[in-house]
Amino acid sequence: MKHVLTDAFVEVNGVNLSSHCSSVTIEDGAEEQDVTGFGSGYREVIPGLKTASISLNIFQDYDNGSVYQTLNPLYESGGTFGVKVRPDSAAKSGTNPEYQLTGRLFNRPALAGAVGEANTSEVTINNGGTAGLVVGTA
Amino acid sequence: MKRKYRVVGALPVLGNAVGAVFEASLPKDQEALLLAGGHIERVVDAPKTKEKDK
Repeated sequence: MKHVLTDAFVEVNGVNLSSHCSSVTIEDGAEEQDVTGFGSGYREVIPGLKTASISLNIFQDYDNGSVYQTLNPLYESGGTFGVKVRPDSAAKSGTNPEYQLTGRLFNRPALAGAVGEANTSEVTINNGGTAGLVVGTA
Repeated sequence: MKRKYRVVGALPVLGNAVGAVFEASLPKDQEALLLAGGHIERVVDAPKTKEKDK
């Protein structure tokens, strides 16, 4: 069945940010390395190094124990942290896979918006671990 | 080592609702960030009082 995102689950460093996220995008891909040799009629490409990231569009919230207090220290520390995303807030399963990334934040999610608009930030979490994007179903 | 925590911030932490008490063995860095950010607080059980000798 085609899926519509209405109740996606987004957890960053153990904090459930789902209620403050309006979009989430997971990207995971490999560089194409050309290994075409003489005598080939076609280019031959193989996968090289992979890149993974999770991007969020979040509504900023400066309350204690909320968005800013979650993301800003992660940016300032420069350390790695866990991110979990599921299509639905229900437990992970074969039909509700959980995407896990050990990430790092390279941009401070501070503030953005015009007069009268919601204060939103685009946050991109890049892979900071050795395992890359891991998919869990059980 | 497992410790007891209460969720005191505005958002659920590790699957626990705001106000809930939970036990977890958190990595040191994660615990420090969650405590500093006002997400959780440590829960220390009151020491058991000894019964008075009769």
